[in-house]
Amino acid sequence: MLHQLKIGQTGRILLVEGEERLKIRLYDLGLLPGTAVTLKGVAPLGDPLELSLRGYSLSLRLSHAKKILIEEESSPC
Amino acid sequence: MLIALAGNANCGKTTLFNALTGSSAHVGNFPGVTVEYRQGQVTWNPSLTLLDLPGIYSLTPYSEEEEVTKKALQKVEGIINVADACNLSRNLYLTLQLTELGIPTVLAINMMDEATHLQIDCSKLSKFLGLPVVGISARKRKGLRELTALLEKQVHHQRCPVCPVPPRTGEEYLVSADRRYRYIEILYGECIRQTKKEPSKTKRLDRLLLHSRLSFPLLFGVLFLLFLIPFGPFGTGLRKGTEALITHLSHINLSFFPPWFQSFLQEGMFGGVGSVLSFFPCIFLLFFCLSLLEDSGYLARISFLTDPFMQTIGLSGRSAIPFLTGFGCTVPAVAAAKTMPSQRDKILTVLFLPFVSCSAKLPIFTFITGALFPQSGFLILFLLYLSGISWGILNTAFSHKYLVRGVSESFVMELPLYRFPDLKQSLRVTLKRSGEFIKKTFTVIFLASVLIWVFRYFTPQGSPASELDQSILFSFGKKISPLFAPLGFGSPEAASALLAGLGAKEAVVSTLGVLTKDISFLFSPLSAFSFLHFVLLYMPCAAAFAAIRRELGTVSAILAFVYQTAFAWLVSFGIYQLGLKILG
Repeated sequence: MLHQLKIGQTGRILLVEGEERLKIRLYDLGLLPGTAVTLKGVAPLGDPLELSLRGYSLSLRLSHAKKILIEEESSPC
Repeated sequence: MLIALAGNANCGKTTLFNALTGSSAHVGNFPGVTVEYRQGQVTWNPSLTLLDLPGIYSLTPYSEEEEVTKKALQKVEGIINVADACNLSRNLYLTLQLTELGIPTVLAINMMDEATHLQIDCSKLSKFLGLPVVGISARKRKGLRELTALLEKQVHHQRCPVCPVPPRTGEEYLVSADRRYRYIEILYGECIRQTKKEPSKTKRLDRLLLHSRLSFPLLFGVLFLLFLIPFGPFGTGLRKGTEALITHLSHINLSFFPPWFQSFLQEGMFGGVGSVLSFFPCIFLLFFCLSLLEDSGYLARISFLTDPFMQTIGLSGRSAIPFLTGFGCTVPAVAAAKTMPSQRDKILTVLFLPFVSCSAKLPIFTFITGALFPQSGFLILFLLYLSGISWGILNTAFSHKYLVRGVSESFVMELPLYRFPDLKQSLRVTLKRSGEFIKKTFTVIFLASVLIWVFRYFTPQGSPASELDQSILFSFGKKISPLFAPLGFGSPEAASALLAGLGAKEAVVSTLGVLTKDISFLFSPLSAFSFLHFVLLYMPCAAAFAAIRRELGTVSAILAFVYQTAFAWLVSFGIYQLGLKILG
């Protein structure tokens, strides 16, 4: 799952789960199956996460990141 | 000709709007909703009227703002789609949706001055998208004339709307979103080249400010500065200076007017004007600091860091900004809460705001702590603020669990790039905001001050009162003072001051100051502490009431305020009675 990425690691989205409204929002923002997402960092308490995708940064709650299925691509740099 | 400015948040729409319209803009409300818009005419082409709409990420309405924006777009004759050059992948998603509307559109790629690592082929992009594309920098005022010229030409071409069938299910939505982004990937590959390494300033700064052990201490540091500048020695000095100036101006020779009119002018009008204007420096400084923070990109980081804490009381990091604004004044804080996508979050945030001690209460606190806690004034003040916030947290947590229905909005937020704030721009924006603030609060507080003057000047029989203790206000105060006896401050002076405070908080100090020479006769340290809590928690001023009524409706606002006053009574009661038992 997305929250299991290590910092600097990239994953490709396979599936976005969760409630409809949030899914639509994430799709609008470009978080689609097939999109490459990198975990840039985490807040000091572990929530929220900072993701990098399509050239910009997005903050996402840990609880939502747990609902996004990814396949790992690169190892952390 | 009505032209809309549409684009993502943080892409410089408002900067562009200001650059194109100068100072001719005015703020309006969309009918039926509390979403605001700015409207103004292009300085060098007054036939073009620009509509600055809220930032949206897609035409699928996610919040009230996006819904209203979508409706507004259907009524305009042209669109300037503003996009962030460093962020085109995501920005073009909205562009593709806008082209489907069939309204003459020009794509303005903004912040070109910051995209030095990219080479964007605007003419190629224009051929792909089927609309004129121009690179601009609103901040540096480059490309603006070209933009309006292109727009004028475009508006004369009518286009047929491409009407795609709107997706009905999540799956269909995924398909259409996916299709758009795939097209964007093609566009990006064809029209945009990365020539240099991407600037890593933001990445490096965030490693420290967002993801390290120092992030929270630095956050506290920033917040501390945010309050120190407007409310510390500098801001307070400016406020006292403004007060002194207004008092000086009020001492003009009016002896040819009857005494009641003299008093009306000096205490009613100048007093009323003074009580609003003396806060202008503090509010201005707070808005200016917030504007700098927003421009620099750090404000979004504040939401990011505070989100997990807000979640515990049912809110999100988005509420952090209204709360910060609320330390200045509740009225603009309520306005800041309007941008919340979820109605439920908005209600909870607005209900929390009165617990955030606004700057108008500060003189009351300093006046009383100065007289009754000469040594530990600062400590008492700090405890008071902490107390207010704690009660707010308790109340919100309770409301979140048992009272307010609805689903909390998820927290998904863009983290913009850091940039050095444009001081001139921030100054201009702050002046505008402060001016709007004055306009909104001035009338209400001014009228309230005049009303208070009437109640202080006349006796219940209608003649001028020779002493303040013969006035209407005082007679009201006497009647309700027994209610406050269990709280330790059952004197008519205290009650009158609290009544006056319903109109404008500043009146509490002025009423106390006039009614009694030495307030340590009215209060003991314990009863003063209890009084301070009552002032902190009871119904905010008339202007705040008006703002909250606009958001929540009259019935809810009245209920909220009755609750607040009752709650304030209970807390003060508890403090005083407990204090008596402890101190013996």
